[in-house]
Amino acid sequence: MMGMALTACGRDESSGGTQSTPGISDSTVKIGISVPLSGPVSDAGTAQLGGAKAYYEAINAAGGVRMRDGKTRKIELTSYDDGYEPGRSAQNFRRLVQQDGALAVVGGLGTAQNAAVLPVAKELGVPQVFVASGASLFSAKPADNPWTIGWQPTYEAEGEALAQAAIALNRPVTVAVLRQNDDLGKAFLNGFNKGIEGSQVKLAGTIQTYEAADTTVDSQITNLAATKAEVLLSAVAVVRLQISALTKARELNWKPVVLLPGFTQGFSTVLKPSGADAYFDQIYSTGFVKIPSDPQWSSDQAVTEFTGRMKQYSPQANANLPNAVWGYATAATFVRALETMDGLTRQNLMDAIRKLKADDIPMLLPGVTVDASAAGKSPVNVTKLFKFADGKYSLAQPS
Amino acid sequence: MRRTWYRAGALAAGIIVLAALPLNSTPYTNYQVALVATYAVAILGLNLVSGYAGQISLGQSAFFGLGGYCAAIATARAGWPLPASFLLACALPAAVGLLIAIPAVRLRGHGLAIFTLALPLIGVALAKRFLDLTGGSEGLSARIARVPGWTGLDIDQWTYYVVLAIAGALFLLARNMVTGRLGRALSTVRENEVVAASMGISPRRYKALAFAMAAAYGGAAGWLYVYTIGFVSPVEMELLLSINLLAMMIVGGMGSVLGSLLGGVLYVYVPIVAGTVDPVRTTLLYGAILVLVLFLAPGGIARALHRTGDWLSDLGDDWRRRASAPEETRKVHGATTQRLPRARGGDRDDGNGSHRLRTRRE
Repeated sequence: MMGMALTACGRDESSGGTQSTPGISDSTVKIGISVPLSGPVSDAGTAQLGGAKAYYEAINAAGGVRMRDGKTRKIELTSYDDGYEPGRSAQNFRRLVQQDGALAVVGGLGTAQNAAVLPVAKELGVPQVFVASGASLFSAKPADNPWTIGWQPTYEAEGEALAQAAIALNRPVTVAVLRQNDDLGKAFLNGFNKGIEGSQVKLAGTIQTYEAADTTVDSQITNLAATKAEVLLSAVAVVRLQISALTKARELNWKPVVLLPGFTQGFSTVLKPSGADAYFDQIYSTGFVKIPSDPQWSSDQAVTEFTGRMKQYSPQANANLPNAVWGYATAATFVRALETMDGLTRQNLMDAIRKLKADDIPMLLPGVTVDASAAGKSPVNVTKLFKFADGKYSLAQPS
Repeated sequence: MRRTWYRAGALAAGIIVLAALPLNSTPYTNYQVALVATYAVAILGLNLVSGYAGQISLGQSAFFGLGGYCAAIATARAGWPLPASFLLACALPAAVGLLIAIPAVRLRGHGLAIFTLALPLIGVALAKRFLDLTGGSEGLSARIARVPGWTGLDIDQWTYYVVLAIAGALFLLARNMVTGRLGRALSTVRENEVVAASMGISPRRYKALAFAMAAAYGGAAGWLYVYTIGFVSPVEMELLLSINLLAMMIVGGMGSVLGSLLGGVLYVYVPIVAGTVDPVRTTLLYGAILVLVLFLAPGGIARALHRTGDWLSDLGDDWRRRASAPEETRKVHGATTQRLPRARGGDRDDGNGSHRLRTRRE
């Protein structure tokens, strides 16, 4: 030990990966993931991991991934808990790459968590792909961040999709806005503004904001109700506060068309507790994946397969959380990238990903496709508008 | 005499091991050890105000984050040299800490704890609001560590040495402070404010001083964190980190410099150990360790180690020292234990030197 210490000055770096690609053998592909499995967001992290695991295990059970060199490889997924702490996410990335020899880290959850990983991925030259975050930074600059790419639609895209509901009213309307006082809220509103550009839709009065730690948004809703706007964009990302917002609007006898973000669209979590389901005539929200509990998909092949695999391989994860579906569809996207790799290096993987197009990724809504070739956009960049009626959301085709 | 030799030998061995370690381990391990040192500094700061001065603070994460933002903004954005941003990362949190402490120490009992509860909440909100400066909830990437060419070291090795050297210096400084006049004054304030005041030690002034020092150490730890991880975001300010640091301080050992180090080790490695069993149970494991330590070793692991033979804390030490000088050991390590009858209650002085004598014995 001491001898080694004395002779070593610096370190002979041999893990650059020129001779044999780390993470790929003739029979396996090693990949990693870092998600919160403890702490306040552990439910979401467990679901995200559970979804991914269910898909990979099902692929392995069927033999593995058939790659272009003619070999079929099984996927070995190593997961670590980051407790939703960015520092631990960055360390987990190093651990997965430097100790476990993973080819890539796929589908990690969280904005700040993955923002902390991003420079490490660049430094090590290791793919950090299909990040589960709606922030645009992961896909925005492929030239600056060649090893990183997001997956799901951005908050901007969501805001833009909601704008379609307001435009579809087909008359001059004003929109009252409540948004979170940070970059998430700003991104959402930016998308919405982009969506209503050149239409008859205008923003009403002052935009109201809240902090995630606030206990109520009563005063904001009171101010917004005073504008008598026909539409309420309640871009609230906190379930408890969305309930507060909708309850207050109801108490004030204000009955606008309600636009909700995906975070707080839930029927049993938000609409029912606030009484909004029975009160408002029109509620719209967005989505890009099939909701497994939605009766309209009860006989859908992808959904039944998803539900079965979740039960079989990830019984501890809550399959009804959107994260489970995201993790599952992300894994499917990654398997597609593996299938189209020309060669076995990390660079080959990134090249395959940046050319990837697929319109048959399971659990994505009809019409929602993966297209990772559009530089600067997230691979899934179509968001569909949903209308709430009769106790459930259905795809809305605003005419 | 023999004792000093053992101590010096153990210290030298420890330094050699720590110096050789990064040359033979993976970058992951090196960063991990650097993180241990980083969190140990934050816990040490907390120990100054909580362990030594007896004031519970839930605000340490706010200072940690503030120091982190100082590092990221001053160096990565404004181009300050690293020593300057380090000084800023200590001075700004210290100034903020002092400003808050001056009114807060006037509150009785756990007033300070409740006051400091607000700091992470405000800190997170501010960090998210000043987007242009802080990068909002996406955080700031700031790779501020640079390896001087002459060392021939890799970035992780250099980072390790820098972080451990700074942390070592801060530990030495704290050790000298708490074993000297300041430490005696702080523990007098903690044990009995009335007695302290009667001895000419102003409880308010010393509590405020301890709080400012804790903030400075928190800020320094935040700087080390950014130097190691290259990133800071509002998450680093969140209350949960404060609570975890406090818990690790209690487990490691309140009022113990070694305990702070142990706290850092636990903070970094408990989740990893828990993860090998079942990560979902990490929180449970934290809780179990906390409860176990409170029951079995109320003074924390550090004190338990001292008591049960010192064999871990003083590596090279042996039975001879214990046989010859048990009293002395106790005096050194146990000066601030709860062995003294603890008196509480007369915790108010009106600033004019007259005191309410409402002391209650436990």
